[in-house]
Amino acid sequence: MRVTLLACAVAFAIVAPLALASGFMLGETRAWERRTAPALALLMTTPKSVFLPVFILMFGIGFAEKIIFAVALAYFIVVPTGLAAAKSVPRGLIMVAQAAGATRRQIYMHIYVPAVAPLIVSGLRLALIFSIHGIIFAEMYASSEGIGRRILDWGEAFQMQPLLATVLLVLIATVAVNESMQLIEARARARLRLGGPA
Amino acid sequence: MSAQSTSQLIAVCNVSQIFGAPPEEFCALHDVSLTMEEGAFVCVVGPSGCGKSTLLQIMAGLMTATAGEVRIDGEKVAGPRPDKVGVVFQESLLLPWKTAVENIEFPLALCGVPASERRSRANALLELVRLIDFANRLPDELSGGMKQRVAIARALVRHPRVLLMDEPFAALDEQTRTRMWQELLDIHARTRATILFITHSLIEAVYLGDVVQVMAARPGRFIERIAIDLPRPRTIAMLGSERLGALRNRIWDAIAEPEASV
Amino acid sequence: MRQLLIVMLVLAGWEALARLGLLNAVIIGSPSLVVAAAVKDGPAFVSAFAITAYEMLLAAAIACAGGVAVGAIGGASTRSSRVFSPVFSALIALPLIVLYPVVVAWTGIGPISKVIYAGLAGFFPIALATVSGIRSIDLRYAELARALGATRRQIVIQVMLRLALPAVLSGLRVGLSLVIISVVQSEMLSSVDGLGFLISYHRSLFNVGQVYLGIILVLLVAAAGNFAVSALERRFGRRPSLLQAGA
Repeated sequence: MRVTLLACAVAFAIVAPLALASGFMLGETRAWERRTAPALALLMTTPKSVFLPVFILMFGIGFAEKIIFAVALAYFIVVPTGLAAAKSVPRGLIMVAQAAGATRRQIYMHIYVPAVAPLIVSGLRLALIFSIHGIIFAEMYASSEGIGRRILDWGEAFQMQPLLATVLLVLIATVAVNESMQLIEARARARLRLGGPA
Repeated sequence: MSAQSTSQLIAVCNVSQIFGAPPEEFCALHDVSLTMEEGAFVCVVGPSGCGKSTLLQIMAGLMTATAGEVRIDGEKVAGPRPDKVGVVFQESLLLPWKTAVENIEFPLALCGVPASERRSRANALLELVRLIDFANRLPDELSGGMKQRVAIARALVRHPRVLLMDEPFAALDEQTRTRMWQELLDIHARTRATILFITHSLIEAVYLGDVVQVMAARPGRFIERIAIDLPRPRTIAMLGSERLGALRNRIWDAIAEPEASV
Repeated sequence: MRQLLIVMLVLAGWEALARLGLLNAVIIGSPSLVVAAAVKDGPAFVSAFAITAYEMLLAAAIACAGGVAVGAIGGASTRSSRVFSPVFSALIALPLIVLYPVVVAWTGIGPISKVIYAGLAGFFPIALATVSGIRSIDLRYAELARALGATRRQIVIQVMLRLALPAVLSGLRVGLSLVIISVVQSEMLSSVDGLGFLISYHRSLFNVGQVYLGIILVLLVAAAGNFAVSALERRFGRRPSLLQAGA
């Protein structure tokens, strides 16, 4: 169990900043966005899990490989959120702030941060959810340890009790995390409406 | 109330409208009465929140008055009467997935008019509002002024007895609005339509109407009726005339001190 | 046209890389290996394709019908939407994959388990999108239709449903993606047929050509599904947006 949690944590730690940052940068530069848009759209709608076998062929299946797969899965889903975050920065406010003599740092702190906070939290939530999904699936498919593997084994052996108990546990835990993150997201959004610095 | 004369198209009789229940009840309209003759262009002007729109809703049959009644051609209004009443709102509310001509046909489609007849009637109205070249455009390809013209055409397609307009030009910029005034006056002259026009712009009310009913707020009530003696057809030049300015000032005074002019 | 050129270039590059031994051919495969695999195991793949496509269609149908129906009920009033929306959005976040072994334990390893699991996965985003689509309807259109003389039935069918359609369609897109992913994943895990199964099977035998053939076929199905939804969106809704999910 620890293995799974660790894997999820690592995957999340990698993909969240990576995807959000690249999405954000894409959003800031109009030219890049236009050029990558069709490619991204294509990549997003394909079931990337189907590449897992190839992946395994290439690299075998171990801790690191699970992580890479989950990262690949979550990456394309979180990038659009980073993009949306970039677009949600109120350009008009920036102009006003610059005219009033605000420094770069001040602009980042007082305009960028509160503006992108809700979407960033949303992106973090999605990154977490899909990291978990990716890790569990990779474990189910080709691992010898971890929650995913156990669940699959129990199912095949018809050991319903441990199966249902664990499934329920995972589901409840995920819902709890998801809901708390949505609360944070809502709070960040509300702060935005009231204005003022973060 | 005076006896029904044959040219009296609409009669609003002592209409009151109360929202909510005591002790928090809100009186939107109090004892409002109005008569309109065929072919008249009546403007109702008043400050925001004075109940103008509520009055229009009641006249259109979209709302039932708490007290009093509305009669059209002597018949009491008890629900929407699209055959008698055409309505134009501030938002054109054209169905976004239908083209201009289809939007105009819509009321006819709702009551089962066959397709070919629908199309010819809709085209006739497109000619009237001078948009026949845009028949197959979608609303998002039309400007604000054009959309309102389509909305007017849609309101007229069933040849209603009266056209009720609720601040239809309020969302348009000044130049478009001035052009729309001319369009509407032109339509009025050509079709002899009976029009009730609600606005909060004093100049618009004076420029367009034969009669201006001034309304006060809280509770909504009529406080003055001013006959507009500007000659028809109205021209843009009149907008700068002294007579128009004087009439406008009269309305302004009435609104500023509602009790003084009752 | 340009896209076709790009595809050809990619294929050529792929073949070259394999031949030149720049990358281990066993792992990276090559177009020629794929063609060979198709010649050798063609029929097996065709029937697997059929099964996978069938499972996806069925699951999509269930998810759509169920999602729209429940969403319509949930969205009908403010009160019900306040209950349904948070519930659905909470359930969407779940890694439903953990439920798959449970479904298999109940219904066995055949297509039914895939259809149930994938149908469930697709159901939630569609239901949520339907609720939000219905809630977001501008009621002034309904009032306008009433003023124009529409009956209650006409208002609901001709105006309200049509207004909610774009939102429902975007939910359909997400739901369809999830159905496709779910079918593929479940076939890869516990199955005796279908494309996912074949891909896994050949992987364990190191038949690279077959593995890639299977992958290509899956991508084809995914593309077909997306194309269908895009066509629907073009006809009835807003332009297809970039921000949709696919795993």
